[in-house]
Amino acid sequence: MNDNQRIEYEFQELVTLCLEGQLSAEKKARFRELMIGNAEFPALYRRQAVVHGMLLWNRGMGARRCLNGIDPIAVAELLAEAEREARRQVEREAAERARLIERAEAEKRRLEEELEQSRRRRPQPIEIPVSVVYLGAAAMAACLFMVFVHFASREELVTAVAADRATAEEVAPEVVVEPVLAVLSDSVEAELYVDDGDSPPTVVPMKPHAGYRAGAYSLDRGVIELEMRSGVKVLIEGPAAYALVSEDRIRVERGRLVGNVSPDSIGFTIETPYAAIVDLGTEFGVEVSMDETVGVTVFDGEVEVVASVSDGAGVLGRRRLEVNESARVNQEGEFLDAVVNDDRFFREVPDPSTLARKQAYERWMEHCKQLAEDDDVLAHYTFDNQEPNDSLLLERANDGQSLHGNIKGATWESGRWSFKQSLRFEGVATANGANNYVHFRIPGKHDALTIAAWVQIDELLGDYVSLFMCADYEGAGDFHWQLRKNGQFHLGFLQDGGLEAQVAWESSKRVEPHQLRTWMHIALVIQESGEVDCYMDGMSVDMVADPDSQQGLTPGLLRLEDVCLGSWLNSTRFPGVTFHDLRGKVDEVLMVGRAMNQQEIVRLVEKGKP
Amino acid sequence: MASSYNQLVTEIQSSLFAFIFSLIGDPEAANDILQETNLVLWEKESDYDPSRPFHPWAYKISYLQVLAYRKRVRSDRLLFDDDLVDRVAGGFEVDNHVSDRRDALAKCLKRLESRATRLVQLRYHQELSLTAIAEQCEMSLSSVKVALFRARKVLADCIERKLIGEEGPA
Repeated sequence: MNDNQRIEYEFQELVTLCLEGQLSAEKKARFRELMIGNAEFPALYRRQAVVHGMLLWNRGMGARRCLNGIDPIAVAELLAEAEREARRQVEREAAERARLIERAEAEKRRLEEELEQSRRRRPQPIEIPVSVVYLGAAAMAACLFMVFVHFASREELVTAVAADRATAEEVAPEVVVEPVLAVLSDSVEAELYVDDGDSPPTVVPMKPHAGYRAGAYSLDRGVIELEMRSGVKVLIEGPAAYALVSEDRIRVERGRLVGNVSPDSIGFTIETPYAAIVDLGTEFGVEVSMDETVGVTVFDGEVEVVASVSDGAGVLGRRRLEVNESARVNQEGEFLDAVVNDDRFFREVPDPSTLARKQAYERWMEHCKQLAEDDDVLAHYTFDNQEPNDSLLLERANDGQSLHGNIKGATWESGRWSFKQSLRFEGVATANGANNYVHFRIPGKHDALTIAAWVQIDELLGDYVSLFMCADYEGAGDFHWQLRKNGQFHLGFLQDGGLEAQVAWESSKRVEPHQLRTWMHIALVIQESGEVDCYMDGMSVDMVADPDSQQGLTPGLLRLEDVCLGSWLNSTRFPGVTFHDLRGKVDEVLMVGRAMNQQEIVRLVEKGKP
Repeated sequence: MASSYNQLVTEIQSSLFAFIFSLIGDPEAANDILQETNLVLWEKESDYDPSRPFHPWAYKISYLQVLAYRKRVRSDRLLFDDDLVDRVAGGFEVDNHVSDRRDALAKCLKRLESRATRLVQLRYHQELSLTAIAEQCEMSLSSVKVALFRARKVLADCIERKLIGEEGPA
């Protein structure tokens, strides 16, 4: 091997060591020497480095860290670091300025002392030597010039400060900047605010890969996906109020959140006012509701729910949840039997139309809460949060178990929104025996009444299709609200005197064929004056009294004590007339002990429109 | 515009990484500088003129980030002095065919002779250290270093031949 070959061999070894980051100081010097000494070596090295870099990249060195070519955590950290560095720089500048001014003043003091000593040595009238005056002035000027020059050029300043970095860092106080805990990886129609509680909330721009530090945030609308520094992905649906506590801890005061936790990040915790949810490697949803409960549902894996209210009462209970299990904890830290509907949660950032549907549902939910505050609401059946085997239709406005409806035959299906329920009625001619209905017992007699419902009618069969039917229909106050085969609404009402004193109305407008199999809002309003109106999607259908019937209603007779939805239990009492059970779906029933006006009916439609 | 820009930035990542790495010699630092470069690329998205080639612009930005990094780091931690950085960077050909280069690398890897393939697999797929490779292949450490150098040289030559069309399309 000649000298050239030996050098090439040496260079090849050094290149590999260099690429592996294993060059000692001595070998680094030798490597530089070879690179400078041979014109071909830089190019050789470059080609080696490029192939090495490509192979590392392919292996995942870079790709593994990057999302669309960018590592969001790293980018956010860079932003934070840049900010930290800027603050340090300001601090260094201030410290440097103070140091130099102090030095100048010390120099001035020293010169003054020298002058003073000079005076003391000469008892004669003092003549300050011109040279000393010049010296003092020159020194001051020099010091001030140093200060001026030091800060005249930012570039020079940076250089100077860097050269004296140790001194600057010594005098500059440590600037503490909260680390970035999460970055935004995706969002849709989101409005996010930083909300520290002291000052007005500040809007957070929705920039891709924006970094968020510890603190309280308020997501007024939309959905965001955060990637926590720990690797946990968190989807938050507005409206929500939450705080980033650490890279593996979020506190949620309100709203819905889905955590997707990799096995590396087990232990990720969601704190809520009434429970902490500790992940054991899973995907799970947490909902802190306005009704002061916390719902948890597990999509995959396992979580532990630790009930503990924030008043210092400690841990009140624990429950492990596995796949498809859910739990709800109330403000006393008690575990409730209520289910948490998986379908309520977005497990990925939705498209805008899906989000719009969900927002419509949320608006309806809010409206339901308002209705529950209305003292005139006799009963409200939302058909929401019901289990497939439920035989009771739950009343939501009055918390009275006696108001729940009894379901016979009708089966649960998806409703106006895919994540809520409705009841399907497979109506048959009731001569064959009523088999699909819900029976209500709402106590009391009323001067006025409103019944509203969201329905989807599949077919109009028989002479009459049952909507809301008093079971007996023989005593004063009984009524039948039905649809005729031709789509007309029909109301029959019994005054004192029973069937002999029947009053009846029929609508001049009809349910048209194109309205079948679509969600439709229907409402019946009976005024205290005895006037009757009926609405279809908020529009009056003009009820006209049957001329053969007695006009008007006797006040105080209206009652819902024995009413069926979808069927008449005594249909055989009218031979020759076919009464048909409802064939279709129902998704909400509202009963109010007063006559709602059209504006209120329209509001029901607008708030409940899917 | 935004999506095509996004695509350009995404596509050039591996090339920028290789370029930065060649000037710094530290994969972690190269990744950090790449992230800084990405940040600047995103900030300057509106400045980019689509009628002009993207790659030289991106390379220039990454080079400036390399220089900024060099100012921040103590000189004894730097691999090269300014003169050598200029020499290495100066001869760098801006790669306008990133995906072609990647494809070429994939094909050239298949054409390595078996011993070189094994070394590349051990180093870049199994991520073994040089010492571990030497033990596994029953080679001296010195031979491993040189053999890896030669394997990379074969790959570099092969990629360049493919890119200029001497061996047919990549």
